[in-house]
Amino acid sequence: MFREKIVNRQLFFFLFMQRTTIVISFLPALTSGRALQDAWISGLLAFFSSAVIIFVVGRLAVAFPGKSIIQYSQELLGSIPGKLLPLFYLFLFLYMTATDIRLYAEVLKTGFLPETPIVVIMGIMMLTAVIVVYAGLEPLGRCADIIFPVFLLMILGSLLFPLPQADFRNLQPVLYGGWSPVLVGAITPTVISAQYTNMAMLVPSVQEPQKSLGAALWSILFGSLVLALFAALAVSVLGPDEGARAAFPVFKMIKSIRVSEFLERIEPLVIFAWGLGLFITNSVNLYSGSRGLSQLLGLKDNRPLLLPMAVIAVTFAIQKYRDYFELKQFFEPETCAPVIFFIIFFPMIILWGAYLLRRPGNRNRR
Amino acid sequence: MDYRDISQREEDFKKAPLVADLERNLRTIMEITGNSYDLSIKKCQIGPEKVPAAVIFIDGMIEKFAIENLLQALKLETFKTGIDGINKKEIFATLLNSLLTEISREADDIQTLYEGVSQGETALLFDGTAKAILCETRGWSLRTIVEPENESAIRAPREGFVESVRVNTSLIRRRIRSPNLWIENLYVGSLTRTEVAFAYIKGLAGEEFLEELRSRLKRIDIDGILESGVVEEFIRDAPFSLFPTVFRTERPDRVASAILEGRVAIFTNGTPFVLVVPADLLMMLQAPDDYFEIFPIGLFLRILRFISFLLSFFLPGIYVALLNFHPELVPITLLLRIQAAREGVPFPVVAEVLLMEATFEILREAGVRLPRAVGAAITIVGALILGDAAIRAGIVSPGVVIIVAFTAIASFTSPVFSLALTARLIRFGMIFLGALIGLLGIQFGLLVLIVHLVSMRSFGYPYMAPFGPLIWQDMKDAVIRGFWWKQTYRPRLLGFREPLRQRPGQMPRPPRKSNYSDKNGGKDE
Repeated sequence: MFREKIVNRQLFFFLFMQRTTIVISFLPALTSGRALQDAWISGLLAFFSSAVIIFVVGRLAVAFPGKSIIQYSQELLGSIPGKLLPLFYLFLFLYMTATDIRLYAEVLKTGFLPETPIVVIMGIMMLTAVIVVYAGLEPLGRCADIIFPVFLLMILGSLLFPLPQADFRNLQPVLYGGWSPVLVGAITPTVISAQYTNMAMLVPSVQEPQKSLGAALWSILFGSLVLALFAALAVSVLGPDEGARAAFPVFKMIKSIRVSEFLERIEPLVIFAWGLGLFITNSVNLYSGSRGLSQLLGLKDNRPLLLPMAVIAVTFAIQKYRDYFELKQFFEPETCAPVIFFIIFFPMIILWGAYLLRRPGNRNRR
Repeated sequence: MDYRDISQREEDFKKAPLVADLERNLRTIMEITGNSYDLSIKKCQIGPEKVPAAVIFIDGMIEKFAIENLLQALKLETFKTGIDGINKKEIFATLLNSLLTEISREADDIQTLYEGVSQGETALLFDGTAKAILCETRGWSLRTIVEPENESAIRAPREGFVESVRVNTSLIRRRIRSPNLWIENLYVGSLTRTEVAFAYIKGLAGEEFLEELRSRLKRIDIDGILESGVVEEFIRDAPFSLFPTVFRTERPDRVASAILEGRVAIFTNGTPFVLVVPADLLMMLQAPDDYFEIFPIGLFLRILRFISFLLSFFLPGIYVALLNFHPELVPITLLLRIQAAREGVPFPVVAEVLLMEATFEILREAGVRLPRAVGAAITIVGALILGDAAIRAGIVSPGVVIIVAFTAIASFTSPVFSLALTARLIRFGMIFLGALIGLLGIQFGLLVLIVHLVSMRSFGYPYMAPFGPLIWQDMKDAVIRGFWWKQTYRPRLLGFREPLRQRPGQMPRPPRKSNYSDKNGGKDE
């Protein structure tokens, strides 16, 4: 079968857009909820903890070139446990997809399409993902190539437009509450880095897998910078209390801006950028999920799985969260951290253990 | 009554041999061509021994002078060499070598003979020889080389292709004089036998790609090719796509520049439209003027064209989406104006837009078909009466008319007409999406469009290059048109065999010491 390849640049675009999409949606709210005006420090701190996740996930993917986590876990653990363990990951992809589309749909429904049923919005988002994954990984990479400059431009725009109204004195006093709220605030951004588990499915298709780890680290570096900037800006424009309480602080910040007498509304810009980023995020998640499931089931093609998986994701997104508050509740450090850390680290510890035990020259034992 | 059908007749024609007996040969030819009135068969006798011979040509495809010269030479040569009729076989060899006035070749069977004659050559048959001489006498009236009407440019060569392959390839040969411009040809169409030629630079165009093109062209099995559009549909990569994956143009300068990038031009006899493969979307947005005007103007024009290209796809859809779903996003004063103008319009916005779009499409189609003489009438009825009256009667609002008219004009900025046709169709889709779910629908349409475009290839070349895949090096000639002296490299995927196009660092600078000093009345000492 023809193996589709992407390059590390496209991997970087994928990961960066995944990260930044969540950031512009509502991440600052979560961090500033704890750390108030120091949210931006939390954002920067999250870089280090996320780097650990990237290393844990990415290093194994690099060690087994051309093999996805489904394949090398079977190689490491044997057929039955090796097939059970990646189920955690497949569930994670579904989870992230459902959460992402639900978030976007909530914002779109409240802000723009109050009379459209939420299923329709989520269905359309999933349909675009199905279409691109159906076309293949290579078109997906090229889509990222095309979308990235537009996305970046919109991000820069939404960073620059609020500047005249920013009051940076809101950021003072720095570290007012000491380090502990800042550290707790860094938990959620780290948890969001669960997105980087996509590397376990993507790196096998990258042309130079040795450099993929670098691409991922650059993406988290820039992603953390964007997060810190947005967090600082949201607090500066809205003030620490408002910035903490608002549901979607970046959205709210953009909404409060009047560029000129005539041009009052520029929030479609953010929504559009978000939509583009979400398109990439969803598609990558769907790709990883369907690809993983097809490998697990021993199917040659992942295409027949796409539509059912999209339907499941939409259904799950509706069933999982009753409303926006439940959605937000999930992202509180107390709830999300254990769940996600369990999903990421439990399989990874086992895999790493097996990998390290097997490594010293006893390859011919099998 | 002859009961043989066309394929049987063609079969027989291909098998028919030339024999030594002149009368039998002529009878075979008469039987095959059915005594068609434009086929002239003149019998004559050559030389002192009066060897029976025949001259065959098609009236209207030959140069009168050429035939006269040929006959003159024929008489002269036979007398000069003093061939005696006893050795009939020698006539053929002597004449083949000595008829220097014309380019001549020999034909061994009826098929070669007839195919030569049908291209305007003149055949000579002699009694006693099972071969014929074909002399180059072609000459028929052609359209003169004029500026292509559908692809006008301000500053670019004024020549355009005509309907003859030979003239068209010569237009390219005149521009690229390197011997490495290779032109291959083949005949397509079982009945029309249309000459199809393709030109490329040997050593620059990828060999695998050329092989692919050859095989695709050879695969075509059809009775007739009347226009290059038929060839295009047979060799396309994405037969169902709305987007043209084969570039077509009437301009020799565009074809030459494409060949210089490593692409291949396909010429079809009987049409001025030359195909270029592999094609990408970008080249359909580039106009010749961009390259020949100075840099900033070229840059400005191109960006303008990109924006209007996007508008021609999305503007009516966005208008419908905004008014239907998101009126709060429209600046309040503007919204008030639009709503005031819409007062009393009986249709919803979608119906209004669709109505105007449909009207415009009909007008445009009528504009293409109508005889020149009634053109003015249609313009007045269509533009003035329909548009003005529709607004006054309150059937449509002025806003919609502005949007539709602007979109139409924007779509005409695309230098390739087929792309404007694509935009026409996709626009309707966007209107529906915008009417269904507002801006989310437009976003959906945009994303699907992007996915479709990036998954397309033209002969293996990605259709959206250099945007997807992103090729930084090629960005110098994408959205912006970089300086000529900065275009150091060929497009990376096309010119991969030899990337360097010109010597780097040729930025012009003024000389350090001026030749004209201000002192001494401008004279240097």
